[in-house]
Amino acid sequence: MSALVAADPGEGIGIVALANADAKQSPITNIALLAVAKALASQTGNSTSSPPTNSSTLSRGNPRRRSRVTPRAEGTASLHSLDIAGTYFNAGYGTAVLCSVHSSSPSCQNVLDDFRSVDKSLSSNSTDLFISWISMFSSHVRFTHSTDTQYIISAGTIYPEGYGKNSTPFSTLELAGLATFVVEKESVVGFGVSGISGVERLGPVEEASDIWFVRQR
Amino acid sequence: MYIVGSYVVSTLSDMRFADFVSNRVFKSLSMNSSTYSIDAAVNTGRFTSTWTSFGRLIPHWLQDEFADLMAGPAGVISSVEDLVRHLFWSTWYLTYRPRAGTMGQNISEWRCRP
Repeated sequence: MSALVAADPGEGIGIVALANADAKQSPITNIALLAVAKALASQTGNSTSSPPTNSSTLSRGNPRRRSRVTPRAEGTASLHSLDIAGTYFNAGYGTAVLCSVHSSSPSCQNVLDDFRSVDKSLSSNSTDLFISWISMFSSHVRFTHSTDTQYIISAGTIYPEGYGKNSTPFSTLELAGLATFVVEKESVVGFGVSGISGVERLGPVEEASDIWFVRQR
Repeated sequence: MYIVGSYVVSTLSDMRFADFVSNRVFKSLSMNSSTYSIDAAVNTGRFTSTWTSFGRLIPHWLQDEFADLMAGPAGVISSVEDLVRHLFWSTWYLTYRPRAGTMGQNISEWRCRP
């Protein structure tokens, strides 16, 4: 968050701090604490008042809890032997086409070109998966292999031609969650995304995940 | 939660949530630099650019096609002055309650604080 609005009505102090850049919570919080300290010092006539060291009163939100997902005990064949790239669907999020470095469709090639523009180390041996889609918070998603059935998800936007006067490619991808693939009878049936809602649930992947995508054949 | 809340408000008021907030909050508090509309902000000539955390220029993150959906939890374009005005009135009302003859005096007290 890069916007802070806070008040202490008892002291008659209000603070508004805005920053037109992402993830500036720490600097604007420090600025707000300094402003509060100076305002309090001026009220009491104490010029040596120091900023509060505990910023908990200006902290917002609860710590996110990781969603615990229990993979199926049966049919957990190694993903390395299976082709998990392909089309998946969720009624709320729509269609997600997962591309691997071996995907040959024109649309997947465009997706891979986008990722190669910001990751020159992306090789033909990569086990990562890639998505390009239209959503509110991201246009590109990358699945980085973590454990046998799990991938770490990074989501954001890739600007292959830069933006504005600076044409250097860049991305805003950041950690977004965890994907767990479910295999039945040596075939991938879908994957669940967890770590988004902060709600902890137990149970099979398709029930405990925040989002469940079904493999489309 | 906020999306549901904005839907409830828009249904009961029979208008877009953004319009409800503009009419009932922004105009009421003379927050003349506040809007949900990117076009309106651009037309003022005072709509600032936005950057990533590492300093790259990027477009405004919330496009118009999603503005109504996200109007509950996000999307207000405003200024420090307008938000101070909103902050004053929201905390003043909770703390002092309106009394005849005191509203103007309290605003002056806030503006004169160092």
